[in-house]
Amino acid sequence: MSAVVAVEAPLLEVEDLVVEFGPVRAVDGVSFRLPAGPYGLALVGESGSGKTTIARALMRLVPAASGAIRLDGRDVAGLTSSRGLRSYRRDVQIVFQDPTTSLDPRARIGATIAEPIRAHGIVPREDVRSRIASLLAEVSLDPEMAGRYPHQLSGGQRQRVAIARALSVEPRVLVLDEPTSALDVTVQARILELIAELRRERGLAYVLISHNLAVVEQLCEETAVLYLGRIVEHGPTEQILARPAHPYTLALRSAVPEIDLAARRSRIVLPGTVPDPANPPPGCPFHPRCPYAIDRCRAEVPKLRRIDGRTVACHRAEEIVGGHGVASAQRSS
Amino acid sequence: MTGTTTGAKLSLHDLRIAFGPRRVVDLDHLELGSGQILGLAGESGSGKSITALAMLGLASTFGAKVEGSVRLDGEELVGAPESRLRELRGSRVSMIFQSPVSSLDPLLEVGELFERTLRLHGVRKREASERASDAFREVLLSTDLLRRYPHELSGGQAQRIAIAMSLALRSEVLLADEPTSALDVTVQAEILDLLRRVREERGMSVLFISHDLAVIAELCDRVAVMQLGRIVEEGPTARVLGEPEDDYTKRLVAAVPKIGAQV
Repeated sequence: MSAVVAVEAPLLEVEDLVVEFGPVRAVDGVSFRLPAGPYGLALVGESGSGKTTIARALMRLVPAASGAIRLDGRDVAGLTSSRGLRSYRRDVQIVFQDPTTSLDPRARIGATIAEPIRAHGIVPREDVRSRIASLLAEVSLDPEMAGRYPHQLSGGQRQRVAIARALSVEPRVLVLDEPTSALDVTVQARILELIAELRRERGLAYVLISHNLAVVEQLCEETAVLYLGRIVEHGPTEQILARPAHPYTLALRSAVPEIDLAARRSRIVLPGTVPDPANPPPGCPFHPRCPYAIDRCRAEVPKLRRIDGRTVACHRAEEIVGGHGVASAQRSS
Repeated sequence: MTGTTTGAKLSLHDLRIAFGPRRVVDLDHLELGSGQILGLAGESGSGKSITALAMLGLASTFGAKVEGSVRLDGEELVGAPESRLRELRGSRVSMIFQSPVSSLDPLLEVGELFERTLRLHGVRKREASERASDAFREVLLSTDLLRRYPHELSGGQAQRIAIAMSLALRSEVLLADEPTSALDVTVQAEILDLLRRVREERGMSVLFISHDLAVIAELCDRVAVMQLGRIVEEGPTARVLGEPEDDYTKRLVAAVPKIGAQV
């Protein structure tokens, strides 16, 4: 997907978000803006990168230690009044990775979708049933499914139900947390099509959390790459994937297996593992694993700065995006 | 490459596996060549995992009825006495799983687990600890990890340890059931490197089960595509995934999201 990264009048704005679990800073000063839809922003990263914690903070399932989350310019991080929270929860809905555990096993599909419709008074009581039927049709499920239980559905059908439920309250923002990672590949392809279709027809704006760069490329014009709770590179998806400017993005991109052997890139090996977030290294948090690290990286935390149409937190970004310094990196084929 | 039966490390003939009245595998012929990495691709419910378990003589412990033939170096395993199967498991054929941490004993330090397992296979105590240390070095892990408990390990470390176990046992065949599906992509790449290396250096024969065709494309010499218990297509990986002949294979290949595929 290609588009210019929008900066005007964000629908959802996250500014300098910090989330802490005891001594661990799971999210450390993350900022991004989501414009009105149709628009997709991807948060990409591996285990421990903080992407799911950001999703939880957006849903107000975990508290922010500091920073702001604004919907239409109104800060919701500090919302405590039940009315404010209620309307926020209607505006921002989430779809989780595993539809098997996110649906109540004892409730019929119809009841599962009816619950938020009733709770938020979306339509008059007598219209709830027809509303459920139209939502099921919208996600390409037979309205008859309303009478079934989750265990009678396939994984793909369950994920469609989870999407229908999220849409039932006419949200303005959807948070999609690895929505296809638990699904078979042919099922995944169909769910991705469904998301693209809903995006077109409803003008959806969404934050997509994924470790799959190919999925991200299909659905999001903008991507933020996270490492150890921070954004290390952020900008138009196409640009970031085609020419990474951060060594971590480069390594992540090179580790993606390619079915088309001609498209295979030589891989950049990252030594070691992600550092303990309770005890992050000094300087750039990526330096202990970075093939390009120099003395400056061990001492000075790189700030996000603009380069080549995106922002990147690396002292050597110019060389990396230009393809220089690559020869000095450790490689394997 | 593996046209002849003589080069086969492990071969399946007319394998039928059923749970009660429900037949889940109906497989005419499949062969894992010596020193080969064979991919077994398919979606949930295609029968790939139960096929692998049948190769260890374990399918029946899950209540399945197994008919047909599974031969390891020509020796028939279907119907072989349990005592003989127990000898072969580990020492000749090992298996690793998707969730490496839960496949280790949570109550044992890793070193203790290695020692007990090796001793069950008749290795003396002193040699057992040497073999464990050697295997750890071979999979590029610090031997300090021998003192850890499974919950103290990352997913990538635990999967390396599972592979180290098969090396310490001197297994000739490794059955790997979705071994990288639960791992981060950079860790997955490291495990794939390691599997290539144990094949090169040890001549290990690997059956690599995965739903991920891109991973299979990167690792496997040959691939067999399974659908509803049958093999719909088998051949050299580049040919099968590059020019699939079967309709189901075509659909699977088309469903793989690719970077840069759309403009």
